[in-house]
Amino acid sequence: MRPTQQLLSAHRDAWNRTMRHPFLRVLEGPVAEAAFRRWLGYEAGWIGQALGGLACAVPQVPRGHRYVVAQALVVLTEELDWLEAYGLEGEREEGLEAADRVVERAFGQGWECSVLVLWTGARLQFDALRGLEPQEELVRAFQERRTSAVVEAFLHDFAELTDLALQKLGMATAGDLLARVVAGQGELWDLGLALLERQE
Amino acid sequence: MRPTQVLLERVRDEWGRVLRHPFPRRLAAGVGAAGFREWLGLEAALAEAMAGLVAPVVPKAPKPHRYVLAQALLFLVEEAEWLETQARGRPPLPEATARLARLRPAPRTEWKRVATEFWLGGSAYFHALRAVRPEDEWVRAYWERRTSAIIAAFLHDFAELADLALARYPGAAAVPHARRVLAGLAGFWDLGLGLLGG
Repeated sequence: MRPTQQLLSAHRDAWNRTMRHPFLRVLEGPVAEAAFRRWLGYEAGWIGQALGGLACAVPQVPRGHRYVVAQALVVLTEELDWLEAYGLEGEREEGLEAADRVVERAFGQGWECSVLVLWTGARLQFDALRGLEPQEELVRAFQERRTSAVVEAFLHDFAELTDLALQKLGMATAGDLLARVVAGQGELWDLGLALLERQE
Repeated sequence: MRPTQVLLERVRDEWGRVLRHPFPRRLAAGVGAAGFREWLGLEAALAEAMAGLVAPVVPKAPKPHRYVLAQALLFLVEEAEWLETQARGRPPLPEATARLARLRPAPRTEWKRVATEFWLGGSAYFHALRAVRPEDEWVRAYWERRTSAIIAAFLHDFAELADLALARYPGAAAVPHARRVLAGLAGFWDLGLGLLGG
């Protein structure tokens, strides 16, 4: 079994709990556009952090694997542009604080941590969002971006590098990092839930 | 007049010297495979050093232009890997390594300088090489990568980012920085001439 699969198997319960987060169900119902756009502002904070962290890791990634990381940066840049176009200004700082809790100990601690955090976060969102059936057009556009064929191909290509990162980090360290990413994603969705429910 | 055109006017002499540098003509006249592989190893090291400069500034550029910087990074990483493969593991010369080591990663706030210098160096490379046409097949593959329509389109997009950067970047600083880039490129090609033989 590949190291990434072993890691996911070892943390399946926490992973599945986060995938049942009530925020995801709320996304399927009627959602006030202004509130959802504020949520996109939070997302921009997280993606901006990830972009900065991964950019610094590029030169550290072993030769032969840098291309897939540079591709990830292009994807993240496109995503940040979209989020900043639709997300409301002025809400980014709160989102950033939540994102900081997830990534501050991960990015900047070597390429292995950056790669694992990015792959785990993207995979969790992919798994959690792809089964949803949002009613609202903007929510559907967001979901389609996170679950597109491009993202699926990226997760596949990036898994190889993540396997390498896992071998270097060891399962215990990687498991700790995964647990923090999963918990951090849950915190971000807690924020999103409060935001969307406040607007109802 | 666009800021990039103003900058080119102000470094016209240095720009002309790079475009008249004998290295591209030396490449076109025919070179030995061994010397050319050493040159490719040197270029791989340059592409890698440039990737280290561009990567930290990607998140700092304004939208939608940071996408252009991210594409530049992708290009540099892909190019470094291709060059290393072609160089077949030939390490760069100590003198070149020392020269490249002076290219320190830029602080994250310096996207304007990195964008301007990358556009300037890339454009000089493109125009100088496009003015020649190599005979050797192994040189042709390299030359085609540097002068392709994709590169032309990329430099066109990059000029917009450089215009934006230069509008926020005092000319008093941009001009000496541009002169250093062009002098550095000429020095790099001097090294190349040494490798290829006169």
